[in-house]
Amino acid sequence: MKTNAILAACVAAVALLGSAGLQAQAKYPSRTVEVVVPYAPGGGTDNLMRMIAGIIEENKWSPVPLNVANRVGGSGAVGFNYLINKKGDSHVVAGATPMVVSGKIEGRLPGNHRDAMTILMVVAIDELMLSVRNESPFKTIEDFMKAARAKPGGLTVGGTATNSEDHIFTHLMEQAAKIKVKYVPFNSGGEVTAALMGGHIDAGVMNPNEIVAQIEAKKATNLAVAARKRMTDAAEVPTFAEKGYEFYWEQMRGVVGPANMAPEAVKWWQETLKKVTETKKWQETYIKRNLLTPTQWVGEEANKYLDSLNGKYEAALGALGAIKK
Amino acid sequence: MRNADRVTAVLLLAFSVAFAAGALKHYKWWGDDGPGPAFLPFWLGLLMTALALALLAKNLRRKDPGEAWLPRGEGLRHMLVVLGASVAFVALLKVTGMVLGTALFLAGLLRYLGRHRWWVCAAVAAGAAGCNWLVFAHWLRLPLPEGLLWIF
Amino acid sequence: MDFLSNLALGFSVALTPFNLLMAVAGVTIGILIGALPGVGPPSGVAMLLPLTFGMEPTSGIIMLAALYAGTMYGGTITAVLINTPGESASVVTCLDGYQMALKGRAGKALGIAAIGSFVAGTVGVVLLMLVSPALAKWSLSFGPPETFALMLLGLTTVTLLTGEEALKGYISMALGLMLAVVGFDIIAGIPRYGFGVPELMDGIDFLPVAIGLFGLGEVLVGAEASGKAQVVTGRIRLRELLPSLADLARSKWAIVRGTVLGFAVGVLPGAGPTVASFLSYTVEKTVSRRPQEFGKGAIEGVAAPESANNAAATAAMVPMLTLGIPGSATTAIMLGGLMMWGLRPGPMLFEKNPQFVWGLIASQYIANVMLLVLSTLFIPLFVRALRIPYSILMPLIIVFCVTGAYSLKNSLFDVGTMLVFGVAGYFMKKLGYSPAALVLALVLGPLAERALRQSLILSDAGLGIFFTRPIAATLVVAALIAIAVPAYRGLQAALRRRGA
Repeated sequence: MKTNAILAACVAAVALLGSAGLQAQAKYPSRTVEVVVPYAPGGGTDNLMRMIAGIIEENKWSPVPLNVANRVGGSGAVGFNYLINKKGDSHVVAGATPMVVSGKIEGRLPGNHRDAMTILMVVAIDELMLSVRNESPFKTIEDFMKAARAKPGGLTVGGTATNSEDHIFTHLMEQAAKIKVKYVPFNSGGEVTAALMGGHIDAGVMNPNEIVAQIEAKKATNLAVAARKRMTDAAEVPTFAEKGYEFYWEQMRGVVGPANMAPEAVKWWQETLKKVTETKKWQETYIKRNLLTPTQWVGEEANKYLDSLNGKYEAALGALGAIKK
Repeated sequence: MRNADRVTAVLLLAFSVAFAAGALKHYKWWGDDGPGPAFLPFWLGLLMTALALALLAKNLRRKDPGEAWLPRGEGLRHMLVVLGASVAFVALLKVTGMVLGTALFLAGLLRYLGRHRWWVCAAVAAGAAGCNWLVFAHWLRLPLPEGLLWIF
Repeated sequence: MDFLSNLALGFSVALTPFNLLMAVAGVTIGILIGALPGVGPPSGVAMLLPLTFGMEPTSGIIMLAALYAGTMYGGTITAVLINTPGESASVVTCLDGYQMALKGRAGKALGIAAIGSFVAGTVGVVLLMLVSPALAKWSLSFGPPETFALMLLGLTTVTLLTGEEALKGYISMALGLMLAVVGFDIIAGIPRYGFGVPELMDGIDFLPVAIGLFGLGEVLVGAEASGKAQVVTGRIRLRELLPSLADLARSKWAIVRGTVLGFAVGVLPGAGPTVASFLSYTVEKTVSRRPQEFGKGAIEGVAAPESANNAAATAAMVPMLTLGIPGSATTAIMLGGLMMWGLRPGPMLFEKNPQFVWGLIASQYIANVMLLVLSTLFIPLFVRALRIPYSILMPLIIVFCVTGAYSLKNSLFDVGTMLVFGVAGYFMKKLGYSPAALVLALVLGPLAERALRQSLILSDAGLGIFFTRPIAATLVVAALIAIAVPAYRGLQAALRRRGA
């Protein structure tokens, strides 16, 4: 009786140890993964990360729960700083915006994608466009540029925030077309759309998904997009470059982890994100609905892309006077 | 109350002057196309300066000291204990974690304030801490502060 | 368009057993979540959004809309019972709601809030159904100059929130405005008064401030008097639990005015339920024949803002559905949800997905009925919480405030903010300052500054922009009158005193 009990206990102990050992060497993720959203609920990054977490949980690709947490503050600085401080912790990831690059340049983050974070995948590119409402006298980008040249500083262009992607877009457009406009910063894309549709500003800098509802209702027109080639789902919109105003500007969306993430964790995320971005749900309801350009850049490819952004940001933010000397 | 108002007025005066001066010193008065970041803070500083001066003038002229407003004796002690316990609770959240911290804070304060039996204190403390964990950490999945020795 | 057949279609969609169940679940969860300070409508909706992904879009949005209505009410409960606003639109409810609770009328306060919310919600849906396109146009006519004028008018009403000494009310407001300046200046793209603290970059969030000033501040005042218990004691009779006919008669116009004002403000982008609730409170105090009772437990002081915030919550759906432009943080999240279901809110939604839109509208009626029924059932339960001895309740309230401030952004920094303002609230209360004026200024300040500077960019720094546009001009003139009249009266009184 007694020996049996001891034997059973030994077997149980070995089994436990064995399973624990197995878990330790190969299994990732082994505990709840925190998915940090450095921005408020309802924003683009929040939508993205909740979408990704939703798809992973729906398909049960993760043995552990993914816990989406908004760590808001400092226009993203609080969330990304939190991530950077989790160096070596494989169970934290965050939704990436261009701030993983520009944060260091502006002195708001201690590091970037190379030295303080691990980029897991760039999942999509959000194009930026110049849009007007249909009551506007400008029907084409040429109309707009002509009016802007005739009256330097006379036209108003609305966008989200200052020294932001929208602001840099406006700056690059001014340079490329040799014009000067008045940039009016708003608090969110929704507010820009409202001001544009109400006729309070002459044109707005828009992500496609911010304006698509108005386009469908034939209440607004996209004058041009700052992409290398026309968008597949909105092929009627010309690019700035083809009209002779050569500049390219866009916003990236992705997933990023802290520095020194375990190799198996990086691998797990790359594979899982690949599966996510290949689902029908992702392509139909995220990419297509938001008129995004899908990407699946990982590893060095993603890093090189971010490096290229780094140079552009340095130049643009320097010109806008946003870099502290 | 009169003396308190005098002190408040002086403090507000100093604060508002520093606020307005800080605005002018650190930020631009006029931006590229309109008022800059210093514009509003400066005027607000000035507004507050005026208000503080008015408060000061009013209370300098006042003869009667007004009624006492600070509590004394037991009242003051109670207030300070509650405040001190709250500050300690928050300051130690990173050490104790939310769940254990809540339990300790509740148990201590309940015992001090109500002189309830220890088991009442323990039950309320454990119950509330448990609810806290269940609702916020378990259902709503919020990342509550974790302690050094507590797994939650 | 045939509204009745559309509405019938809507009800046929909404009245399926599953969708009804979702509405009940939404309202119940909403009330409970709304009652947790910090976890307000935006985070509540965000957290439950994933739950709805497996459902039909119609069921999902019904649940979210019901949840939204529920959270709006849930925030009221803690505001009335323990002076701690559960979410931002309930801050102003603390003023009279808590005073009512101290007088043993907590049930009546919660009851009138439920009735007001019901009326406002229902009227709001009717307006949403009938005049959405026209309203959408009116909301678009609000550019930066109009927004600034509205905020200015809102700030001038601050005099009405003050206690005995008007001067201290103005000081409270100025302090709120100064705090509102802290943080990232989006126009200039630089942080102000941040002292390098990243958490201060986005400014001082006003919910931790309100939780501190009202909730913790009240606890500290209570601690000092402990023993001499503060909160209701003794048995509360059942008929005391619900508003009487006399209460209803007294509040009916407050509810009507709150509804209309709340809806009008809620439609505007950026303003939202919080601004609506403050404005309706001050309007009510202005038109009331008993302004001296406000702040001391006037039932109209609960009825008006509670109606206004529900009307505004419904109204916020107008720009979301008809224009595809979110009017508030919560609708921004719902918009995200709609897009994930493959719907595209905007001018085409009514034509392309009538079933969805009318199902949502019908479910709003149902959610409002549910809200009235459920909240009435809950009231005795909540009021009973007040019978817990204060020595036990008080530490629990502190835990509540701490967790609430934390859960807003999962940040200990906000907890610290709450503590600091708890102490400030204690002194403000003791020395006769007005926490409500501070909070109002903190809410309106950033909106006002941004709109002012946007306007001046548009006008090349000319002030004419505020007087040449009809809506802006009307509002600015109203604001100037609101400043001038009390000033004139004060001057007159001072002169008379000199003369005598």
